[in-house]
Amino acid sequence: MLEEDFLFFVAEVADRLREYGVKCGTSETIDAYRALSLVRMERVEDLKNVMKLCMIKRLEDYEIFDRVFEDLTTTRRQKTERRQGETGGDGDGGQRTLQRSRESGKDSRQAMMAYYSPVEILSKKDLPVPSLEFIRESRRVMKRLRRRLALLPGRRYEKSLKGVVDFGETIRQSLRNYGEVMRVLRMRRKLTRCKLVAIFDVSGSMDTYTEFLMQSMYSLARQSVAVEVFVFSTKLLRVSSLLKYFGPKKAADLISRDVNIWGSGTRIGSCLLNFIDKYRGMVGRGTVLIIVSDGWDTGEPELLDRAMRSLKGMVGRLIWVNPHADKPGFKPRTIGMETALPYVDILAGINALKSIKGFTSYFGMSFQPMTRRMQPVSRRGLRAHP
Amino acid sequence: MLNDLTPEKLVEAMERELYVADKPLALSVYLSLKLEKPLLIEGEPGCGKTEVAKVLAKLLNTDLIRLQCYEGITASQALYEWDYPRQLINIRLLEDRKTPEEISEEIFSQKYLLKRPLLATLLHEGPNPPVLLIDEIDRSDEEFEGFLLEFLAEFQVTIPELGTISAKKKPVVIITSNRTREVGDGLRRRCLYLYVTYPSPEKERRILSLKVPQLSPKMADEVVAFVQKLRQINELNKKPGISETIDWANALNVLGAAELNPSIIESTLSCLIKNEDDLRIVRDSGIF
Repeated sequence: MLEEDFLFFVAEVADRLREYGVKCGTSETIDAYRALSLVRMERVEDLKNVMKLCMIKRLEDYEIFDRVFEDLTTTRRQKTERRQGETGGDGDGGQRTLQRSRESGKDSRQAMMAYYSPVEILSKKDLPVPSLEFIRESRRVMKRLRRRLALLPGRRYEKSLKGVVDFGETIRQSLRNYGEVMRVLRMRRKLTRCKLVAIFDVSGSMDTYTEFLMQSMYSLARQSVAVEVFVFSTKLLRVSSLLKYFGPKKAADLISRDVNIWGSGTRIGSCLLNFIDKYRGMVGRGTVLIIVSDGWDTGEPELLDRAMRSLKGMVGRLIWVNPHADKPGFKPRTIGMETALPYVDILAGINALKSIKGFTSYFGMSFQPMTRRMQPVSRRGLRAHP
Repeated sequence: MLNDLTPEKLVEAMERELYVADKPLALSVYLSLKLEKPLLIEGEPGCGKTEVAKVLAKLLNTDLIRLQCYEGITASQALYEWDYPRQLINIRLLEDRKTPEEISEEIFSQKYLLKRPLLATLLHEGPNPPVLLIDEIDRSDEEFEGFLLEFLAEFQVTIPELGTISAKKKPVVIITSNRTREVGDGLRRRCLYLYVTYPSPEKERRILSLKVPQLSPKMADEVVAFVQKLRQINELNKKPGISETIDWANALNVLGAAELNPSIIESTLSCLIKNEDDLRIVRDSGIF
């Protein structure tokens, strides 16, 4: 590749990364280009390593980069081959990539990448675009949920206007005034902020709830940085970045394109184990895990049992949202539900996430409500002198 | 050393310092030196993140300055503080000999500054820039991370009484994180990023042969195979890292074990697994 080629290549990769919600700005592109001139390239692998190092800033994006890179280098090679007239130029390179990725049973992301080819056929499912009212309502619900679920005051203290006297800090501050205590500082227990991780079941049996799934996924992901959203049926996919960085329409579009697994069978157990294996760093004692599924499982219940037991030990609270739980006379009879129930803190219906009323009926008495947090000290000061 | 450096040479040099670096790691360290950008290393505990900085300091023949982050760390604990008690004593001592102006000049000089790691980095004297290790950034609060952004961008600090102090030479910065909290986008953007994970069997054997040379090759093979098998158990709360493998190999060596058998594994398992629940899981799994 020539030097100029490198520049185009870097720009092209950056462009595609952005399309998948990877934050890759101009400074990353410049870094990558500068780095390429510093390292002697012997193999494609070197090129890939250098670019990855400079352009990708989080583990979750590694996968996307690998696909983008692989796709770009293969199409490039195919293009050259075709130009040389050696392959006979049948013009369906993308089709072949897609076929190959499906045959090898690899991640559906690879199939998604193949979508970049001129051929536009995929089992594309039209997902509904979340409505504005729903987003607003569910934002209210989520806010309440997070406040309600905030774990108890932690071991640490923070500065505060009320609370017990912080003798240590008061004396330390007084040293600045040469031992004269000007102000008595106070502190109180820091609240552990809770983090939400939601895993949605998008298998065939949940088909009737597609609209609800899409809507709550979108509004959940949009809450704040401390929310992660996953979907699963036969395999697990992380969709937070897709939902977070695109508008509702584009996100629905991308997900329907991405998620070839939409509407297929369910393997809850192995998907949850996969989650534990790959993303365990994301959850901790301060995490609330929400699993949205009806519990129809075609996998082995032992796997689900194992996964639920591990998850129970890893997260602060476990909520299972079952769409059928709203119906009168509901009993958790599916195998998945029966296996998971002993580990679940709360079993709720989808109304719990849909409206404040539903929320109160499910979560009303379940947890100790937390008091609203006080304004930080510094902000108060600012407000007094605008 | 910096001028004719290549990633390959770096791998060799690090190996001389008993650190086995693979291609991506060497490349990242090399580029962070060349591009003068901080390097953010994330990964499982015990996979040699902190070690990178230590080895690098030795290689560059310079000092390692370490800032260990913890919950509640504040700017003054990382940057500087006036030594108030000493200032007070000196005011008393100088009271009748000097004028107030002279006294204030005296007590607000660098002599009375307690240099915390970040300021120490800026004031570092020596032919080579120091290596600044900001360890476990994920343990600090978001506010502190925001404060670091500013420092990393300019490498300068303003002390109202003294003026602005900036680094004579840009320090080499290594930041590590265990992912207990997501590090913010702002900090990520300013760094090169590398994720390190558990090593391959070949790499782990190589590490053992460097770090525990007394261990017989056959034994090393068995140790590595067993540890790799342990890492396959997904339910473990904390899988053993490289440092645990080295500890274990050392323990086996001290005990003079000639081969791995269930009884010796049972008695030394606590080197690898440090959690009661995990110990139970491993025992139940029947891998030994």
